Amino acid sequence: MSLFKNLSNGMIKENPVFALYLGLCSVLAVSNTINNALGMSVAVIIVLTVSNVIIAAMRKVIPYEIRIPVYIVVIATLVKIVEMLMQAYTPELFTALGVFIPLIVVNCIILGRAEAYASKNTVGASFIDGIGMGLGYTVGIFLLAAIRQLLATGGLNLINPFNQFVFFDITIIPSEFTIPLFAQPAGAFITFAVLAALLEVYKQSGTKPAKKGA
Amino acid sequence: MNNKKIIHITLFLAIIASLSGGLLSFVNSLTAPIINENAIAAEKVTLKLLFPNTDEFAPVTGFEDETGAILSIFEAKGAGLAYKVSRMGYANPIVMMVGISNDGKIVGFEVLELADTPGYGMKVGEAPFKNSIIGKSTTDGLDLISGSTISSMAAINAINAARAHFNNFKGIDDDGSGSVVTPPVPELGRTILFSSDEATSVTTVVTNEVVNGDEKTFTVESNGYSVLEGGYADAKPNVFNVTINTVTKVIVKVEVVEMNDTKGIGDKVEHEVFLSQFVGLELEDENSSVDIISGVTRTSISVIRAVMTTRGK
Amino acid sequence: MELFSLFISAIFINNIILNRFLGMCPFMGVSRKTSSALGMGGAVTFVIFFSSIITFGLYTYVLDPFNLRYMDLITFILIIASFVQLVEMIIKKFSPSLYKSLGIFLPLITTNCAVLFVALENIKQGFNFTETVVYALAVPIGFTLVLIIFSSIRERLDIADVPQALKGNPVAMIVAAIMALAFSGLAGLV
Repeated sequence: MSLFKNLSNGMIKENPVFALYLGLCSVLAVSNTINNALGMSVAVIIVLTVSNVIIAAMRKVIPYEIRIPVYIVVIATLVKIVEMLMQAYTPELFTALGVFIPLIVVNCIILGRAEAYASKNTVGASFIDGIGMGLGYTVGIFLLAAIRQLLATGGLNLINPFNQFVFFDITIIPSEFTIPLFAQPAGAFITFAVLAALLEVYKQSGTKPAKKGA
Repeated sequence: MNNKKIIHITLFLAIIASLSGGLLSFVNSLTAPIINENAIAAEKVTLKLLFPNTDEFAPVTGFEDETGAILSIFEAKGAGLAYKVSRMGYANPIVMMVGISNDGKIVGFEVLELADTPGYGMKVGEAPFKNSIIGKSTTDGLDLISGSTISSMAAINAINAARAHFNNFKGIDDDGSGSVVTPPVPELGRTILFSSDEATSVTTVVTNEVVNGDEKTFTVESNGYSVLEGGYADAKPNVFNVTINTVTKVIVKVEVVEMNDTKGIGDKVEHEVFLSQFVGLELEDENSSVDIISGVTRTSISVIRAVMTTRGK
Repeated sequence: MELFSLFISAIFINNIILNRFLGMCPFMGVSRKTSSALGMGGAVTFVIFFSSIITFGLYTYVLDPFNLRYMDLITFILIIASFVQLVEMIIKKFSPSLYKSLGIFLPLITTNCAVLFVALENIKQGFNFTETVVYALAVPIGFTLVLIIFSSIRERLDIADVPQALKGNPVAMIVAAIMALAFSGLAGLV
C-alpha cells in the first residue's frame, strides 16, 4: 500500500474506534475532556507504534506457539514504562486518567495490530501502521471528547501536562444551555452511537473524496 | 513438539521475561524518586509545620492500618513520623495531620479539612483542643470536647489510629488507656415548642451578660432535675451560656458551663446532637421547637428555659 | 454491612459496563443470543474470581514485600492470560457447542478490560482478602446481568425495523445509553 493509503486507512475506513469497535473501554471513559483524550491518545500512539516496531523486528524469531504471551509481555512492559514516566513527569494527567493507563495493555487495538499486522510485515510498514491506527484512535476519541465536553460544560480547554500551563480555555455555550448528560455514561454512549452511525452513512454513500488509485 | 523446540521456547520466554524485568527495574529506579518527591511536595507545607527542624521527608509505602483512617504516612528523617488521617465528623470528613516524634510524643497536630457546625464541631480546629493533644504520649488518654462529642471523637479516633500504627511500628505496648470509649448518641424524643408552658414557666437566674457586637452571651442558671425532682440537699441548678443575635433575635449557640444533674444522664444534653438544634432558631417565633432527649426530660427542659430567658433581653 | 454495600454497589451503581465502560468488546459481540450471553458471563465470572484471588496473593506476599510493585502489570496480565487458556481448554472439553458459539471471544477474555481492572482495583482500594473475594464476585455478576438484559433486547432488535445507518452496533450503543440511564437511577440505593 502506498504510504498515504496506509495512513488514511487507519484513520477512516478502518478507524479502530468507529469502524472496528476496538479499544472502546478507554474511548468512552477518557473522553470527558479533550485534555484527557489527547493525553491518552499520545500514550496509545507511543505504545502502539513502539510495540509494532519491536514485534515486527522480532517477528522471525518469535516461536509461533507462544506468540501471544510474547506480544503481551512486550506490550505490558511498554505500558508500565509509560505509566511510570507519566506518574513522574505528568502527575495531574496521570491522576486524571487513573486506571485507564495500565488498561492500555488490554486495549484490543494494540494486541490486534500486533497479531494482524506487525507479525507479518516489515518494521517500516509496521511503524506507519502503528501511527495510522494511533491517529485513527486519536481522531475518534478527540471527536467524542470535544462533543461531550462542549455540550456538557459549554467550553474547551487545553493544559500542558508537564507544567500545567494553560494553552487555552474558552467557553462557547453559556452555562444555561449546557447538557450535563454528556458528562455521564449515557451521554457517552449516545454520542458514540451517533458518530458511528455517521461513519456508516459515509462508508455507504459511495461519495468518498477522490483518492489515488492503488 | 520435540525437545529441541520446547527448549527453544522456554529459553525465549526466559530471555524476554528477564529483558522486560530488567527494563522495568531500570525505569523504576529513574522514576521512583521523582514520584516520591511529588507525593511529598503536596504535603510539604504541613510537614514543615509538624517538624520545623527537619528538611528531609520520605513517604512510607505499604503500611498496615485496620482502621482505614490513615491516608498516608511520611517519615521525617531523624525526627519522627507524620500521619495524614481522616475520619467522618458530624457532617463531613475531617482531615488532619499528626506528628509523632521518635520518642513517642505527639509534637504536632494540624487540621487540613474541617467543615462542621460552628461553635461545636469546628472546635476541633481551635487552639484549646490542639493544645490538649500536643505533648501527649502515644499511650495517654485524650479528652473529648464537651458539646462536640461526635467531631472530637472522630478526631481522637483518627489520632489513635496514627498512634496505634506508631506503637506497632516501634513495639510500644499500649495498655488501652488512650482509647476512647464511644458514648452513645442520645436519642431525641418529643418536641417542645418555644411557646409551650413547659418552655416558658421559668425558674432561671441570669448571672452574667457579655456583649460582642450584635451578639450577647447570657450566663443563665436554670433549675434542672436535681433541684426540681432529685431533692438532693446540695442540689444546684445547671449553668448555660446562651448566645443570641440581638438584632435578628436568632440563637447563635448554647453551651453547657456547669452540669449539676445526674452524671451519665443529665450530661447527655452536652451532646452536639441536642445543642445544635438551637442554632439558627428564632427566639420570638411561636413555632420554634426542639426535641428533648428521651429519658432526660428535666435537664433538657432546663436548657430550653435558659434559652427562653434571653427573650426580650 | 460494608461488605454488603460493596457487593450491591459493584453490581448496580458502579456497574462495570454501564458505569465504568469496561468489558465492552464481548458486550457488543456476544450479546446477540441469551444463551451465549449466559455462557460468556459464566466464563468471565470464573476468570475474574480466580485470577483476582491469585493476583491478590501474588501482590500481597511477593511483589509488595520485595519492593517489586512495578512488576504488577506484567505479572497480572500473564496470570490472566494463562487462566483464560485454562478456561478455554475446560469449555472445549465439556461443552463444545458453547465453545463454538463463543468463538473468538473466549480467548478475548484475556483482553477484557474488566478482568485486569478488578485485579488492579483490589490492590488500589487496599482491599483485604474478604473484600477482594466479594468484589471479584460482584463485578462479574453485574457484567453478566447487563449482558443478559442486553441480549434479550438485542434478540428483538434484530427483527425490528432499524434505520440502515444505525443497524447493528450503533443502535446497540443507544440501548446501552438507555440502560445506563436506568441504572444510574439506582444511585441512591446504598
